[in-house]
Amino acid sequence: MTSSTLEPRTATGMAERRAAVEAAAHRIRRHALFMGEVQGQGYVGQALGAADILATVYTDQLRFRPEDPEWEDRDRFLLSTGHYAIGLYAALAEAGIIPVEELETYGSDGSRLPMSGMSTYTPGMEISGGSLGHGLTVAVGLALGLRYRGNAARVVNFLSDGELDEGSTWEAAMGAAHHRLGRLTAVVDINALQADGATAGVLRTEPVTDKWAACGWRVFRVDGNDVGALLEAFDAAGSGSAVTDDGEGAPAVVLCDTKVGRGVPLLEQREKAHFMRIEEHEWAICNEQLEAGWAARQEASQAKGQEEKA
Amino acid sequence: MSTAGVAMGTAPKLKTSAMIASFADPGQKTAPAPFGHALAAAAEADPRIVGLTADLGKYTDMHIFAEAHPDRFFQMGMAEQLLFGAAAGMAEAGLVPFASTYSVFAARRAYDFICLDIAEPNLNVNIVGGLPGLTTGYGPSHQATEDVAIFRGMPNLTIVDPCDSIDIAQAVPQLAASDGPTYLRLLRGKVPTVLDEYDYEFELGKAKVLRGGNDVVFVSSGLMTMRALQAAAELEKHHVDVAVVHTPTIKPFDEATVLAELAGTGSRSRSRTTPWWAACSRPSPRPWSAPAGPGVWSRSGSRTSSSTPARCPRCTPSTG
Repeated sequence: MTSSTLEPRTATGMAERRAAVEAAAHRIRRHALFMGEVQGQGYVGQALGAADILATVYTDQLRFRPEDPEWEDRDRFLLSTGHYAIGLYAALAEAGIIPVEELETYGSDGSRLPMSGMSTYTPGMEISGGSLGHGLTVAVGLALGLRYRGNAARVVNFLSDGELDEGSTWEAAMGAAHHRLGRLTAVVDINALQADGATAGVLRTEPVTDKWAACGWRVFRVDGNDVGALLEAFDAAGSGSAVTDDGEGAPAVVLCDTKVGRGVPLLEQREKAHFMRIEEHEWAICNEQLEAGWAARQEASQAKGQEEKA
Repeated sequence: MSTAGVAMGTAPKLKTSAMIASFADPGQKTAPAPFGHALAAAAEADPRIVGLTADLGKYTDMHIFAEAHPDRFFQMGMAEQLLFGAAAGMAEAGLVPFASTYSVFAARRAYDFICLDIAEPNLNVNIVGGLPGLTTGYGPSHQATEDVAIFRGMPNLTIVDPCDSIDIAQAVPQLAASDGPTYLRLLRGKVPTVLDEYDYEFELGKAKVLRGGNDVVFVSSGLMTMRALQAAAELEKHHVDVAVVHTPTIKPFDEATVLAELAGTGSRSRSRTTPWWAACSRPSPRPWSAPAGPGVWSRSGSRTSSSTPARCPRCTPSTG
């Protein structure tokens, strides 16, 4: 292995891991705002909301080689929600799989970074998402196939709570449990929002925890914007006594309650919308708010660290 | 016919085609489950091959493979979207999946999964569809009258419509070896063996002239090739000299072989017929774009009259 981001996690303390992920999440948010501003549009709200999840996965959990995105033993991250690609491109740039400079082409004609993620366009993009409810079905086959081939790679499928409307998601949920795909982890971004409005009003999916458990999954429900909680959940989902060396065991799902626009108060407080409008003059405000919030959190964190030392 | 008459045994016995698993003529030579046996054999040579089904293993002859290679068979349940999504995932893991269900469930129910997850990334996933066309009496729920029309619009997908057990047995290893997705219109159960009477070998992408003839050219695929050969033999008794071109790969279509046969050396005007499905629905001009459509064709390639091939009874009549 040349430069996997994940050397044994036990070698690093939780505080250091958390700090590294939070810093990565901030950069992912910064990248997402940049892409949105250059294009004048984009799914910025979702990217900001999911940044902590993406940072946890790419900075802390997945094994991959940035210079060799097709490395056979890599862990696979499958983005079901194609429109979250803006967030994933930011994470891929952060991970060194695509150049940061390329982010400015997001959504442009001829770009490798289309607005809805396509596996054939982008290094590190494992599947073409966008038609929702596909990702978990492909993840099931990938996990089955890797296990059959004796490849211990982990398969992580990122899906949204709106995607739980799709029947195919539940076909796959049953299939994964039936085939005991212990190395499969589903991550559901529960931002309570879908195209036509609040998830609760479009098609009620709760009680989500009970549904996954009833399908035979190990379920973890966390604040998806709390990096510490995410790390603990992903650690437990990916390993432990629940999964044999052969990869047999109940699959795991990490249900992440997130906030659309997280990190930018202007967007957090705006009326929730699937495709959030941001006026031209507002991008500067967004950036200022993101940096101010990050600086404040850093300051608070340092103060807390000094208190603990003292 | 009265119900009482049937009950009393005085009326002719009612027939059903609903449960017919084989369409072999009485006394015709057949081979059992050629797909299942061919896949099991191909898997011996190619360790990448795996089999999946959506609760129709026994009815698509996949059970033969499952018995031969239980560790390489994956039951996905009655969940066609999962079946094809998972097949895509297995191909992404470096395997060569054959995924079976009925043609209707592949074409109609799981189209988006086949299109986005398999065809668009051009994965080597082989879709095996039982009961293609009108090969079941179960009615519109099971009859795949539009499977070819639906799948012809799919990018990268190769469509194979075999005639008999020879075709199927020879096609399976070639489907596994070829890059990209394929759709096999499966003939299951006791499948007639016809092409052993001819100097024939299945070659993916190629049409084959099964018999030459100066008067008429039949161009056919699937089980209709068996009928075309029978019709040619009947016409021979009436001194009509019929050529039969079998086109088991119908996408992409081997125009060169067909056109060469149409431009043959016969002195009289030649006609051609097309598979039954060609008249049903034509969302794109190919493969029947040149020379276009069913009809009677002169040696020069100009249409002299139209013919009406057998067609799906639910389709609007077409003059081709």
